[in-house]
Amino acid sequence: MAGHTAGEPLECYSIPIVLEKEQDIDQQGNPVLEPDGKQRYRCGFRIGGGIDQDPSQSPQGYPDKGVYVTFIHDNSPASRCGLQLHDKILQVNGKDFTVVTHKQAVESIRKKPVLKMLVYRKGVPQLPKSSNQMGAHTQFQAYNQHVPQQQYNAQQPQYHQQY
Amino acid sequence: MSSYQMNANSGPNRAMGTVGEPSYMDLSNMPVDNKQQQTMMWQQNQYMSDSGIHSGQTTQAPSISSKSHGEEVDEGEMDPSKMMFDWGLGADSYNQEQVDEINQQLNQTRSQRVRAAMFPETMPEGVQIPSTQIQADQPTAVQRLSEPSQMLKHAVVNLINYQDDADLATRAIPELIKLLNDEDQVVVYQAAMMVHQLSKKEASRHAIMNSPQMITALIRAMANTEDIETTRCAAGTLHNLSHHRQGLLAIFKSGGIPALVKLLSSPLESVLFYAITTLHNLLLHQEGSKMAVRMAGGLQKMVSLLQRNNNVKFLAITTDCLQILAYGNQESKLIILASGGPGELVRIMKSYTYEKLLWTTSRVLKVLSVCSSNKPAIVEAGGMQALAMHLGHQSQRLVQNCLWSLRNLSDAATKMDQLDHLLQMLVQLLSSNDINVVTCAAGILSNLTCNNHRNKVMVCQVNGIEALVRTIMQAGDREDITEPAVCALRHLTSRHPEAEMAQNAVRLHYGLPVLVKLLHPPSRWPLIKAVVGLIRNLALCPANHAPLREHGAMPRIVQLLIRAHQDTQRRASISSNGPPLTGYVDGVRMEEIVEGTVGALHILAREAHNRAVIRGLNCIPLFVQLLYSPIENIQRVAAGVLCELAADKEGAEMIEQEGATAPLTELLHSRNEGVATYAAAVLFRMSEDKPQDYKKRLSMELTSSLYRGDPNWADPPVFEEMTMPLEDSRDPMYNAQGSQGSMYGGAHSDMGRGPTGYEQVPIDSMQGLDIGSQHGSGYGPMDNLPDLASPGDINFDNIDPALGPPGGDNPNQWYDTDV
Repeated sequence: MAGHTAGEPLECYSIPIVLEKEQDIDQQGNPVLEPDGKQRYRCGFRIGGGIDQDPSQSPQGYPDKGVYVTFIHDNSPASRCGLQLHDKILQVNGKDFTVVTHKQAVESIRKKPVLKMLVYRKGVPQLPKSSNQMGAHTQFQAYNQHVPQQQYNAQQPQYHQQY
Repeated sequence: MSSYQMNANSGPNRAMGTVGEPSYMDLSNMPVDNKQQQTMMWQQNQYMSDSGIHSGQTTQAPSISSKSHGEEVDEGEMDPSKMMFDWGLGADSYNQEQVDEINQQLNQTRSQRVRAAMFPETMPEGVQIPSTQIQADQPTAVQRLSEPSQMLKHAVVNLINYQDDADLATRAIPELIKLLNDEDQVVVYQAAMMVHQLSKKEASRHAIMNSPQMITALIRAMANTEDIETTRCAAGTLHNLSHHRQGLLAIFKSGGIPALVKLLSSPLESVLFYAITTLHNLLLHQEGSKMAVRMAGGLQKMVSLLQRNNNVKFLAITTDCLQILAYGNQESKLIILASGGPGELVRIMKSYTYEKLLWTTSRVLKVLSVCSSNKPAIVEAGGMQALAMHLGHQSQRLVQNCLWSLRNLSDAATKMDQLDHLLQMLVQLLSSNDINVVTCAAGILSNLTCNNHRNKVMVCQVNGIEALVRTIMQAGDREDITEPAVCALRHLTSRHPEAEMAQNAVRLHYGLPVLVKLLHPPSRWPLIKAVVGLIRNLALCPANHAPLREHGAMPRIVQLLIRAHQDTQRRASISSNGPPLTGYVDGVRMEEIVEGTVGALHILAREAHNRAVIRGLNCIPLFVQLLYSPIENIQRVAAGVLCELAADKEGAEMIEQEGATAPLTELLHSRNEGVATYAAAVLFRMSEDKPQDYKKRLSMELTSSLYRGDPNWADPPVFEEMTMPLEDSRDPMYNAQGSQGSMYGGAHSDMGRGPTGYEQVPIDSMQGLDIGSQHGSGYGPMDNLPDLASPGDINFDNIDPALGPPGGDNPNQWYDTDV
C-alpha cells in the first residue's frame, strides 16, 4: 500500500471516518465569512500531496503522490472525528483521492459541510490474497479501486471470456 | 414379388434357414481358431432347422409390399409352370421332366447360394453354383439380402467374441489384482503386462474399468515400482482406459492424477507419451481433473517438458494441456510465468512449423496475454515478433489466435523496437476479407503507434495511411473497426517526422469526406471523440483547412460542442444539491468532448476563412463561457481559440463585447502556464486599438502576473516587446512562447537561479500549449489524448506517460494547505 503508484489498481483495507465541519470563528467569536458572504467552515487539519507534487520533497517523507494529513489542529473537528496524523486520504464523499492534484483535493474537501472519508493508516493489516474476504463487520472495509483507463486503449478480447 | 416369408419375430432365422441338406462344410478346412469353429458350428446348426420355405408351395409374404417387379423370379415360391413362363425360355422347350430336374437342381443348390451370400469366406475355391438370376440388372432376393446378412453375421461374431473376453476378464481380474500387489517385482511386471494386453480389447477393457481395485492396484504398482517396463505397461493400460468415460472416472477417483504427473519426469519416452496423453484426456473430459493436476504440480512439470522435448506431437499435446489448465485461472497463469513458460512458448513459435503445434501454442499465449504479469514477460521474450512470423500462414485459426494475442499484448509493447515486419503484415491484413482479422489489425496498429515515433514512421512508410483510410471507408458504421483505425490515424498524424506527410496523405486518399461523415449519427461518443482528435491533427496542415471547411466539419463540431457543454451544465446544476455525477456517456466524459472540439476549432481557426465561419456560428459567447470552467484543459483550449480569433479585428471586438476581459484577467493568475500565456495573448490582441497608456498599463500587469512566481528578476522585459506575429505565421503561440522561453533562459543566465527553477526540460514552458492533456488536471489519468500534435519536434518520450508533467507549477515544491 505504501508507495502506491497513482493510476494503478489498488486494493487495501481502509478506515471510514465522518467529519462534521464546524463554523469558523475568529478570536472575538465572530463567524468568519467567505469572500462571497457565505459562512466558512473549517475541518481543522492540513493536507499535503497530490499527483502534481513531488513527495520526495515532503518533510514527512511520504512514499507516494497520495494526499496525506500533515497536521491536526487541537480541539477541532478533525481531532474529534478519529482522523490521525499521516493518514492517507483515499476517498472523500465518493471522490477518489489517489489521483488528484493538490488543488482538486483542497476544493473537494472545502465543498461540503460533512466529509465521509476513507483513509489508509499505516499498520492496518494487509488485505488477504483472496479478494472475496471482506472484513466488513470490523472497523475496516475493503476499498477497491477500479482500474482507470490506460493511456493507450488496452484491448481486451471480447469473444472469449476472461477469467 | 415377395421373397421370403418374413415374420417379424423370426426374421433372421427365416432369412437364413434353408433346406435340411447335408452340410457341405468340411470342418477340417476351417482355420484352427476356436472362435471361427464355433461360428461354423452355429452356422451349421442353423442349417439343420427347417424353415419350411422349401416346400415349394406358393406363399404370400404379408409383411412385404407387393407392388412388385413382376419379372422378379424367386426360388421356391413359384409354381413351376409359372417359372417357366417368366423365364421366357419358350414354354415349349421344356417338358415336364426337364422342368422337374431343373427344379430339383435349384433346390439342392439353394443352401449353397445362401451360404455363399452370407459366408463367402467359407466357400471352397472354384465352386460353381447355378444361379437363379435371370436378368443381369435384377438381383435375386438372396443377392439383395447378402450384404445385410453378412453384417448381421459380423455382429453376432463380435458378440460372441465379446462375451468371451468379458468372461475371461471377469475371472482373471481378481487374480491379477493379487499379482499386482505382490512383493516380487517380476511377478508384478508379468501381471502388468497381462493387464496391458487385456486393456487393448474392448470387453476386457470394460471389465478392468469396472473394477476400482484393479485401477488402484495398477496405479500403486506404477508409482512404486522401480522397473521401468512395469511402469510402461501400467501407463499404457491407463492410457487405453482413458478413452472411455468410465475409465477416466475410475482413474480420477483412484488418485491416478498425482501418479501420472509424477511420471512426467520419466526418462522413458513412451512412458512420457502415455502419461501426457492420459492427462490430456482427463483434462478434456473429466470434471475435477484440472484442479487435481494443478495441485499435483502438473503445471511446472509441463512447462519444463517443453524445454526437453522435440517431438512436435508431444509438444502439441503438452501445450494444449497448459492451455486447458490456464484458461480462466489466474493462479495457473502465474505459475506458468514463474516456471519460465513465456520464454519456452515464444521459442516454440519461432522454431517449429507443425501447424497444430503452432495453433495450440498460440492459444496458450492468447490465454496468458490477458494476464498483466505475463504480458511484459511475453513481450520481452520476443513474443510480438514470434507471433508476427505466422500472420501470413494459410491456417486461419492460427492467424486469428496470433492476432488476438498480439492485440492483448500490444499495449505493453509500445516501447519495443524491431516490430517492422509486424507492422508491415498488419497493414497488409487490413485488406483482409475477414472482419475479425481487420478489427484486430486496426486495434493493434492503434496501440503500437501510440507514443512511438519509430512505429509511426514505419507505418507511414508502408502505406499505412492509405490502408487505414480505405479500411475506414469500407467499414461503414462498424465502430469496432473504425474506432481503432481512426485512433491509429490520429497517432500517425502527430509528433513524428512524417506527420506532415501523413496529414496530407489522408486528404490525398479522399479520407476527409468519410471522416466528417463519421461525426454524425450513428457514431457513438468514443468514435466521435477519436474523429475530433484526428481532425484537429489534420488541421495542422494548412492544405486541409479549405477541404475541411468545405465538407462542413466546423458546423458539426460546434454542434457537438454545444451538446456536450449543455450536458455538463445540466449535470452541474443537478449535482449542486447531491453527490457529484460522474457523467460518463458510452464511457466518454462530456468534458472530454468539450475539450476535444474546442481544441479542434482552435487549430482550424488558424485560417482566416475558417475564423469567419466560426464567428458566424456564434461560438464566441460559448468560448467565453468556457473560460469559467473549473477544468484547466478546457480553460486552455478556450483561451487558445480566442487567441486565434482575436487575430482579426472583428473577432477581437466580438470577444471584448462578450465580456471576456474579466475571466481572462483572472486566468492570468492560473498555475497552468498555457492558460496564462494564451490569456495574456488574447488580452494583448484585444488591446490593439486602445490608447497607449492603457496598453502600457496592460503590459505591465500582464508581465507581472506572468512572472509572479519568480522573485529574482530585476528588470523583466516588457511584454509588448515580445514578438507576436499574427496570422501570417502558422504557430504564433509557439514563437511567442519560444521567446518566452528565451526570456526564461535569459532570466536564468542573468540571475543565476539555483536548482529550484525551471531548469529541467523545456517541456515546462511549453507544456501548456497544444500538448493535449498530458498533465493531470481536471480528470484523472490520461486517456488517449497524449498524441495531440505539437508542430515542433518535441521529444516527449521522457515524460512519465501515466501522469505527465505536473500542472504548470514547480514540480520540486511540496506544500500543504489548511482546510
